[in-house]
Amino acid sequence: MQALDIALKDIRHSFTSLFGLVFMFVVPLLIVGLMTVAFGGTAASKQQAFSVPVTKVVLANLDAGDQEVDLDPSDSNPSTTAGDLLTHLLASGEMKQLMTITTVASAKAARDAVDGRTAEVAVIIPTAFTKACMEGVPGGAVEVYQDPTLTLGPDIVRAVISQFADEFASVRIMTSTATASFTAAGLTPSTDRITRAIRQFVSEATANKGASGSLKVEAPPAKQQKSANLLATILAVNMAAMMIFYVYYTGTAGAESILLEQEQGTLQRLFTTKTAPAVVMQGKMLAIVLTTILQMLVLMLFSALAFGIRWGGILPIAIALVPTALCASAFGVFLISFLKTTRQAGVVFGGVVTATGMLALASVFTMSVPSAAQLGQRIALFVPQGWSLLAFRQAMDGASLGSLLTTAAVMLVWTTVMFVVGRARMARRFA
Amino acid sequence: MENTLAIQVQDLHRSFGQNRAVDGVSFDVLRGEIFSLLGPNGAGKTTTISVLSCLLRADSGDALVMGHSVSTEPRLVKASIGVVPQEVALYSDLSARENLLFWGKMQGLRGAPLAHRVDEVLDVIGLTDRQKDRISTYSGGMKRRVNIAVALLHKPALVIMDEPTVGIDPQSRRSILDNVKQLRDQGTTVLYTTHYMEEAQELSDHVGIMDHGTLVAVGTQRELVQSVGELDRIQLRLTGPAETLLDTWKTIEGIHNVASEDGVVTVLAADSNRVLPRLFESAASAGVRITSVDVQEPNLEAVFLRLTGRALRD
Ligand SMILES: Nc1ncnc2c1ncn2[C@@H]1O[C@H](COP(=O)(O)OP(=O)(O)OP(=O)(O)O)[C@@H](O)[C@H]1O
Ligand SMILES: [Mg+2]
Repeated sequence: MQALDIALKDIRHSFTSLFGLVFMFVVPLLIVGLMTVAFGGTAASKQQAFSVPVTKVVLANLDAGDQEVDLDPSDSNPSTTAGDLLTHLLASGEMKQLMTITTVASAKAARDAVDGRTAEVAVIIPTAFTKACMEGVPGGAVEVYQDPTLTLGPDIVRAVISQFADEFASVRIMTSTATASFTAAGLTPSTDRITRAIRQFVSEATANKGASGSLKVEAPPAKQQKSANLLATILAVNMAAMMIFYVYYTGTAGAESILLEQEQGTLQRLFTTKTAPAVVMQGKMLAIVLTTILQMLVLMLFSALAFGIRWGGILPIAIALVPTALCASAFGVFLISFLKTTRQAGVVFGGVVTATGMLALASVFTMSVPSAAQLGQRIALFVPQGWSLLAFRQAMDGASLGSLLTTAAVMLVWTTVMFVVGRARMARRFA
Repeated sequence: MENTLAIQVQDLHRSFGQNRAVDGVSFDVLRGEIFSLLGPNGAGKTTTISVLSCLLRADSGDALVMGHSVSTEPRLVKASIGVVPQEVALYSDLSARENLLFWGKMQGLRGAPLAHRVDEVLDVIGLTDRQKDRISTYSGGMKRRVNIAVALLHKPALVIMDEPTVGIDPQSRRSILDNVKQLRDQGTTVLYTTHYMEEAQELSDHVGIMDHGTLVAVGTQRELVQSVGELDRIQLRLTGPAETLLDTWKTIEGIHNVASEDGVVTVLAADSNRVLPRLFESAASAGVRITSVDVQEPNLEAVFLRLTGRALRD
């Protein structure tokens, strides 16, 4: 009963302190809120999902064509060039999601547009482009001139062009192979037939996106769906990470109240009352555990409503949450047991709690970098926060109960070790 | 004998590293009396009290509090005492009433009896009309009064107060001293520590004088003063370079002790009539002017000076 009285007093203290509230709720929600805004819209409203910016492209098509290759004999225009095809491709409907094309007459005009910032990328198709494409002769490289501060837009343009060049290379190889086989068979290659074959291929390349070997610009709806899901995952993991980062903070701040009570003499006074010292400490511990649980519940509820974060089923979440609360409390008692005054606590908050929290965040920072992800996850597991985060990710990913329980068990081991050491050190002080 | 004693301290020792804070202290406190521990800063008063209230373990020796050993029966000891710590120990973000309710619960009180008792003690300390205000908005004297009230909630048979009047206004001090006497009149035993001689003089039935971890004398005020013998207490005010003069005075025949505090020099002498002319003589030759002289009966201050060679506050 007295333990509960002490716990309620402490909880009330944490929830009426502005500083405590800011660190428990405002900061973690603010960070995730900022991330949501930065990535354009919430995961909940998929309409506004992440999209690649539209790049302004100016294009100078200098391609002189090749008299011997009329790509489209049926066309009234006798000299359709590879340059025209590329221009057409870049300006096509599918590409409008990625770039807008303005054509200019000269290479200089194109470069000037970029230098003058009216365009972000200049594409200059050289005179010998068709020749180069059809015959593999050098001097046919398309120049991509860009604003050096940009990366994503120019990269996309470059990717589209190189894809086009690849398509043409295969057309060329096919043509020469065909010509060679006709010749070997003692036949005179029919320009007409070859042209027809090329036409078919090119039209496939520019029109039919589904066919293999064609340009792989993903259909916009599919892409948006995918990025929306990715964003939701990133946000959810970050929210969990922020929550855990600050829950361990709360655990330490809660344990710090033991030092604070010692400094204001109320702890000693409690020890002179009828209430047994063990009960006093139980009350203090209970307060920390309940505060961290309340903090997590509020953060989860709020982030679910505001950011559409899906935390997982009630049972998995409970299996992640309760051991996390215990672990964060034990973590606090453990750290604080090394201190003599609350003035030293700044070092613990700024140093140990933040540093260990950052180690746990390694698994979040490296999440979308495949080469580092595994290392990041391994580093995170050196600190208790890492295990808490793992548990919440498992709960969110719908991992098996077995693996979740294993993570919870590891957290309980952490809890026991830290609590036993912390408690022993504290008990020695108040002998 | 045993049930007439509230406290029996037996050869108590407690050190902090090399510092022997309490070094072989023994005394008895009768039930229903006010017993003062009088001593300067660092004498070991708080350390003694901490052992008696089971906050500190004694290195050796023991104490019986209301018949229970502090080393083997701390729970029984705690249940029978109320402790007023030297520093105000309250939750400053809670109101006086909330503090009292909380501390009452820690003493096992609940519900209506607790609420009723809180009303009573608020009335005793005269803070009924400020009870809803946060402690952080209180004056030093008001905080000290609440600090005392917390120790009275469960009506303990023994109240231990550690310098409850330090640094407060005369009005709050008056009210606290009256509260202490009131407690005694209701049958409560009070162990009171102070470094104010006047307080010990006004309150105490018995006084223990502490210095450097030892009890240099215990007794009623009358007994203690008699132990100084027939010495006169001469108080003088001086202007001029007095330091070497005081050393000279210590060598004058018939002078037992010389101590200086806050510009007032106290001289203990067997016969003031014979000593005073020599004091004026040596002052004149040292170029020091004596601006006032006062000859008094010995008091607790004189006892302390006689026993330790020092003023109570130096
Ligand atoms: N926790 C402690 N650690 C180390 N030394 C201590 C501790 N508590 C007290 N002391 C030392 O023990 C001696 C006695 O201190 P104590 O507080 O008992 O004196 P006091 O008579 O209560 O003095 P005051 O009038 O200043 O309160 C002092 O020298 C003090 O420095
Ligand atoms: Mg003291």
